[in-house]
Amino acid sequence: MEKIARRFAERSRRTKLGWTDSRIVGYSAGTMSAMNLKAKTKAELLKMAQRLGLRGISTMTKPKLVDTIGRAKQGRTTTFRKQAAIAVQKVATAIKRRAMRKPAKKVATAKAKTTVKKPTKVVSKKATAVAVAAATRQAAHKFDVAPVKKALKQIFKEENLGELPETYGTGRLFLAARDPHWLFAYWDFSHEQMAGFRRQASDGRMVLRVFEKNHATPVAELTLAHDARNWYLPANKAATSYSAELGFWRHDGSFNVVSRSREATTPPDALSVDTTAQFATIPVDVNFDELLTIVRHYLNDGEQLAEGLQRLQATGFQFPFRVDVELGPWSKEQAAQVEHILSGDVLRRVQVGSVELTEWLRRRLQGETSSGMFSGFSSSSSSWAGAPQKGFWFAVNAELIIYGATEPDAKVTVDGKPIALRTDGTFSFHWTFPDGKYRLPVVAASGKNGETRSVELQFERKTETHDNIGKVSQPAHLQPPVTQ
Amino acid sequence: MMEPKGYVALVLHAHLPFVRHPEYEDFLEEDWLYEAITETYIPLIKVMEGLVRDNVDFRLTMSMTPPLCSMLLDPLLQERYVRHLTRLIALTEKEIERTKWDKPFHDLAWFYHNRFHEARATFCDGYGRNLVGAFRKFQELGKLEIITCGATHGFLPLMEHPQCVRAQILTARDHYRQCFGRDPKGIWLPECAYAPGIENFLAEAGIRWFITDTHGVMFSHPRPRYGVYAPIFAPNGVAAFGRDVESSKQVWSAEEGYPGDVDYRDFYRDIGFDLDFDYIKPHIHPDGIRTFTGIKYHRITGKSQYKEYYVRNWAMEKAASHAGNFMHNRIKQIEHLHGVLQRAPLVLAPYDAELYGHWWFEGPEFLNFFMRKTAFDQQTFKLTTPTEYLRNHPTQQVAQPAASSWGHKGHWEVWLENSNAWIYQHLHVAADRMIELARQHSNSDSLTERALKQAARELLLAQSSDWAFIMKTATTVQYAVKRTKDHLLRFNRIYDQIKAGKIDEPWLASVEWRDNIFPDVNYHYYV
Repeated sequence: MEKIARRFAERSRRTKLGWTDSRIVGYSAGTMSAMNLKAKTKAELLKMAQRLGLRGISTMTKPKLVDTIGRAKQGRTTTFRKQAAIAVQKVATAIKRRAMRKPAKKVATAKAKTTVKKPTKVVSKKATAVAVAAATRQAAHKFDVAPVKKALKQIFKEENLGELPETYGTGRLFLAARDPHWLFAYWDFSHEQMAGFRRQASDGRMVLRVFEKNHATPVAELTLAHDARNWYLPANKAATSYSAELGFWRHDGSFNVVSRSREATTPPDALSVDTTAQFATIPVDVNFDELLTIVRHYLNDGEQLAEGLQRLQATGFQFPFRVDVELGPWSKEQAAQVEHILSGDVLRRVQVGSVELTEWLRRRLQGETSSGMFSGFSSSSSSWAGAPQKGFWFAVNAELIIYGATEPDAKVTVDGKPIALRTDGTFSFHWTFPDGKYRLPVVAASGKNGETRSVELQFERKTETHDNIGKVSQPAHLQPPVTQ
Repeated sequence: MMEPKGYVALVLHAHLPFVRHPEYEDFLEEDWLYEAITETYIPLIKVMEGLVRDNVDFRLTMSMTPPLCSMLLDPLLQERYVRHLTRLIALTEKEIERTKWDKPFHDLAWFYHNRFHEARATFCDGYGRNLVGAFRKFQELGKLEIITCGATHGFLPLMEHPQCVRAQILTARDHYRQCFGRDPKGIWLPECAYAPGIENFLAEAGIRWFITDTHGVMFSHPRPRYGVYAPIFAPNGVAAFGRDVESSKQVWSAEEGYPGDVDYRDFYRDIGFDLDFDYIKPHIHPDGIRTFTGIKYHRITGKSQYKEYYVRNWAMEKAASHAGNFMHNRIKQIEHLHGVLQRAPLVLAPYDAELYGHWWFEGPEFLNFFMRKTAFDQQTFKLTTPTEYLRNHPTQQVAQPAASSWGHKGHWEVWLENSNAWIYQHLHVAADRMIELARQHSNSDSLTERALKQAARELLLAQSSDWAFIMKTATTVQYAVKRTKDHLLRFNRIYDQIKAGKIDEPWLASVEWRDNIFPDVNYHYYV
């Protein structure tokens, strides 16, 4: 069991792959001092040496490597500068060319469109028709990002997919900062794994410990209920990194970790106290690769693109685009006013933004239009059909529909007779409507305070029949009409 | 025009989750798309057509998410939309008869009749059923900027694996290229959910800016000198734009916001619920579930349940006067900010697109009036899009944006709480497995390749933040839970079959036919 535990702990360390992983991001720095080189591991130095194309490196000691790389870099600085200058020149030309090319491109597309619409007249009518059909087909599929329909052998309407497992036993301890003041953790161990750990624990319990970064003592230590699968923990501080570990106390008093989480950082919940402001010029039409080409060799260790641009631009480095570091005046009064304009609303987070309404709306929509998705079909339409008639015939009848809505808990009477409301407070009555005069008082009484609202509807029907006119039978579920 | 004192960028986020059920003849949740097309997307297109026709220089930004674009381009859903409209037109014909003796309602029945006819003409004849192409046209005219979103609107900060964030963003970028024939410059992060590090994948995709809620920029480090009235550059060079609170409040405040005006159309009084069941039955769901039809005859009238009939002209006058009011408030806001900042402020106002038209019926007209008035009646500010703003103002402060979302309380709580926390364990394991598969199969035979692609689609669909959201709101929980589980279970079955080397081709084909989003999905992004 301990082995498993160690393996899990090991695994979570090994697979630690931060979002700033340079393998994916790929902006690491170029130049660095011997000091910086010394801080690197030997493996990292070997990689660097490889990139520099140095030979005989595999047998070198670490100091030797530092020395060799340092000298190689120095020796190359001038070459780097030259290369950089060439690269910058290339980018500059590309930027210029792009600026020139733009209008020409539009004309080209416009032309292309016209040719599709008007096939040349030299070709025969039939060929034209084929071409047009093809063009139409093409146009029709121009935006098809759905796969081409294939004939399906079978539609698996019921896939018998089963249920998701309760746990997978991966040993993951996931920690997230839900907001500036709450952390969330879940752990993925099977019941058997957890039971195994508990058997080894001195008190038979699992423990979740949370650490603030660079602190040896946990800020929280929770003894978990047997069936606990996740937990919400209050965090003391915003803008602070935490990590968690799941484990148990051994009989010898030591803590046995079975899984460690990654670091989770609570978001800030206030204005930054750092009021320094550095500005960079980053033209939106020069792509990141081009910008990197320009500055790659001048970036400091760990420095990112905007930071490097800002630093170089402040020192008058030449760029193939206009750099504007002149800024307007900035005073404490201005800063105070900006804070005044924004802090109230932001800090209180006014709950009237569109998203709140969206949430409310979506809720409302989903509530009312949701679905009998799994109920399949039912055809319950009742038929009015009677016995088939022979020869020409004609039947006419009239109906009266009364409908309305009120509070769902109100009492509604029509002509003194109480009627049932639907759960949403709506009601409707469908009346057959023979000749005669009708008065229909409709009264609603509030379920809360007995307040009443009333209305009187009056109707008259007069039929003049000129021929033999039949009557269609009344739908079975309709009530007989209310008459005076 | 003299140099403006400031800029306003209107941003509409158009998104619906991928809901497409070829296995059913009628499917209620597909109506979300149909309603949004009739009430929001087509009206917005009509507004833009009019502005272009009248030579009004306007700027608008819209995010169109990959699931929405996929649905708009899907032949089956296009066909079903036409069917839906045709049914509605038939209903308005009945309504014109029914209301013959009641002039105000009779006129409204005609109003809807004409409106649906016009929608069908726009959809079928105007754009050959391709509304993505319609929006693309306005982008190519330089008036509309379209940005992308996560591939399936996945909630990025709660993804354990960086590969998943990367796949969400790169897949969206690829899909955008197919839809719009160029690369996206901006992105609407799903739910505006940002956590430090996400910008690295944006940079990889060549995306230059994203939008955060106000505090995402306000609480950045160091403190943003100009508040949310200018973007900041994250250290890697991707810009972050923060939402302006004041303009949001004005439009959406439940108390003093425009959409609650008594002359505007009431959302709830829909004949799908009002009319007699037998009468309306053929026009609602075949199972007899009452649904919104979109035919609504009443105006808000007041706070009580009592509603009077809708008068279109009054509503249009209100929309014009609200647009004027909105413009004047922006003028005042921008003059004040310009005085304080001593530079031109940018006021960025993002909204859910579907609230314009679908919720606030007159919303598209409001936008129309606002953009026209802005062009002709004032000189204080100009409309812009974030890319255009960056092009003209490439010098901005460098600061690290703060983790934030636009959900309730501003962080992850909506998508991580008791009702939905259970999904993450499953999503994370599926991600483990997807990465494992992608690493093991750099080259595969065509059947395995198909299975790998489908696995990626199922994972992406399971990640959609809409499911967690619906679970939280405790309404169509059943549908959201089923969607989450179905995609995960399909994923797991594909995983098992690939691992065992026994792929069930007929079943796989059926899954491909059902969940057909991203035909060219690149599973290598998970390596």
